[in-house]
Amino acid sequence: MRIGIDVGGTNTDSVLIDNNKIISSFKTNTSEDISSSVKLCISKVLQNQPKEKIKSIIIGTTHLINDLLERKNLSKTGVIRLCGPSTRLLKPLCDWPSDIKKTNTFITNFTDGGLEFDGREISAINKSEIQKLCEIYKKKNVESIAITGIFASVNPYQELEVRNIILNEMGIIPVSMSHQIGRIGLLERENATILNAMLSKSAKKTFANLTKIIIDLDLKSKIYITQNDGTMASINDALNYPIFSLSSGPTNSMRGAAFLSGIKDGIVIDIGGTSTDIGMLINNFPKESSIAVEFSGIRTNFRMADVLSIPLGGGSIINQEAPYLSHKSLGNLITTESLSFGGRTKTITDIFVNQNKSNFIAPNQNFKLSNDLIKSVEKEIYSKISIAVDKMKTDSKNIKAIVVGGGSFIIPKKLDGVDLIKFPEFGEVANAIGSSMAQISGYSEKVFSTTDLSRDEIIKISKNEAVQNAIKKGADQNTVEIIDLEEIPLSYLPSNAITIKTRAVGNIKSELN
Amino acid sequence: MGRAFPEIHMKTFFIYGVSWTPTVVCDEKGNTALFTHAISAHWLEKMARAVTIQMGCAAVFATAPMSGIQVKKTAIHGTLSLAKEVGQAVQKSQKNKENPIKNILKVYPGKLLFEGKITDLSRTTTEGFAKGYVTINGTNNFSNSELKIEFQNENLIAYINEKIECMVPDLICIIDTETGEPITTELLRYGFRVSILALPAPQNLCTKKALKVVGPRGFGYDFDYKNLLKIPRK
Repeated sequence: MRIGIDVGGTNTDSVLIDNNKIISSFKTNTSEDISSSVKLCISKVLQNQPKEKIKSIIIGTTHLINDLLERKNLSKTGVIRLCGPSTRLLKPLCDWPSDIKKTNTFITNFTDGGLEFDGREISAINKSEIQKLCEIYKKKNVESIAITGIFASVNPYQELEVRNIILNEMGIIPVSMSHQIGRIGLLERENATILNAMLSKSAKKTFANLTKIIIDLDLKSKIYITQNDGTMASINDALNYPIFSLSSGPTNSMRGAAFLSGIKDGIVIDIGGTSTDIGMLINNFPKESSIAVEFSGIRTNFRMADVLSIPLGGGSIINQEAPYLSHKSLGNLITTESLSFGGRTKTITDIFVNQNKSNFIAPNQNFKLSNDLIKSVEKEIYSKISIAVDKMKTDSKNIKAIVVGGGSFIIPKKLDGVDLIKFPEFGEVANAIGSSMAQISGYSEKVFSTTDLSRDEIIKISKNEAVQNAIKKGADQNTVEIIDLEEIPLSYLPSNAITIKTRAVGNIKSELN
Repeated sequence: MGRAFPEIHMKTFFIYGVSWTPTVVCDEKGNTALFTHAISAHWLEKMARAVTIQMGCAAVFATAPMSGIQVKKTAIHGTLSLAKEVGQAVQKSQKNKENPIKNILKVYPGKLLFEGKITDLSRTTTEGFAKGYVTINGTNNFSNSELKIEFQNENLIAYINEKIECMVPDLICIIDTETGEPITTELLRYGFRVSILALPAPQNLCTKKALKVVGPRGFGYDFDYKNLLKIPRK
């Protein structure tokens, strides 16, 4: 058996799963300290189950993004760009919001190093230059280091060399390297690497807390953290790459929707109190964003689900005149301020309560809304959702849609460009189900010479390494498959080199299930 | 040159007789390449592109040394100010929640050619250029119509229901209907809601001499330029 948990901004959900069957589920408001709602969620789904039966607990959390938004628990960070004479006009952090630069300490430096687009060196690494930087870091109590080399995604050897020099000089200190975090695109990759480095303190605290909760509850389960891409990481990996766990909520809800509906390819509409998230599901995984993703005003380019968020939810406030849907929502106040709860504000939920179409029994049903208003609002919802769905589609064919989340009753039963809509049971805890279904991934990245080996042999080696890495981390051998393979030729190096990056994923092994 | 073109020899300076050498190309590492002679501006383009690739695919260059009289005669005037005004019109629209398309057309008089949604896209990179076409299905006043644009880095020919409505060197601009931000060839994607503006190119790009280089024939089409916009040009 395993427990899946998703800590969201508003709600925390949990489920207990046995052999892919849902045994129990629970949903509560996220408490201010977060930990107490997690504790409550675990105890509620556990009920009378023997504790030793719970083999693993998989948690998706907003702790890290909260710390980032509130600018707390962030590490003093040393930022190194390996660039030689290139790119010096745009300094690291140049496009960051000024408040984060003020509240947190950054020591930024340009050093020798860097590659051209085809793998040639701009300049070589200068060992003594890095050693001198380490002296400064020690004096200033730097807690974490971010290394970004120009075109390091093509060949990572310079970043690895610099990391080794730093570890030699400074002993144990978290070091983030850009080739493991972002993709091609210097500033976005550098931003993502610095974010990763900054979050190391927050990650350490968060994951220590979660581990403590599990121990306090006397559970001996393995703990995993869900990542932005629908896979999970051990606590140890999550500590090294906190940025990959920064925003797993949307992905979890999409993967949960896929499981609940049995639909592998389609569009997921997750509607809560304040907003609706819409994303494409391709072969059980969320489609990734191909453009830069912004976090708290910082542009990055690491792997993220491509989700369109529109301000439409159960708590959306109704305007006096057309267009009736406003961008404002009552949010958590819906349970006191809306008509259905005896308040004075007209919301979307009230429109549906008035027609007995909501999924709960409203404390106050003593109000009447005009038919014209109801019709107009429903028409606006229809067109808003239809347009948003269409924006996320990758081609013009009709698709299937899955609706999850607490506000799903406001979504019409028919939409433009959609030939089947499912409203699955347990949809309100889709996030926690997605957490519990997270898979284990293995990665391989290597530079090969095509003069010694054929392209087919090289790809085979790379695939095998990714598969083995996934199995080593706890994936079930029979379910592992390659989901991503990227080839970058290094055209100007001798011996026709290519970089191959491969990713494999598999379900969690049954001993851990 | 009053708009963007993909190659050096399409600059108005060279079309109107300014010498394309000496030209110097530099990189950030301190390398310099000096071209003292090239038999045509097109040859300069080919050689400078080769050097730029060696310099790491990004380099700066200085070309076309000119006297004041030559600048006045061969350059298209006021283009930097115009670009800035168009940008300010877009920013103002976003800030005041006004219609960006209307505000752009106030600064650069032209025509709203089409409005719709991208439904098909084909893009291949050949010889260092992104070539292809994009199809847009009409919405609002343009529903039941289809617009197709053929491009080579820049948008070249626009057809509505298979009839040509605008052609190079006149400008065909694909704009995000909501924000007014430009959508360049590499950013095109299925489902974007876009407005297509047709803006008249400056007079200097529409002479017989210029059209040889930057008219449809300059991009491999087998037909001559026709002024389809009937909008006064600067």
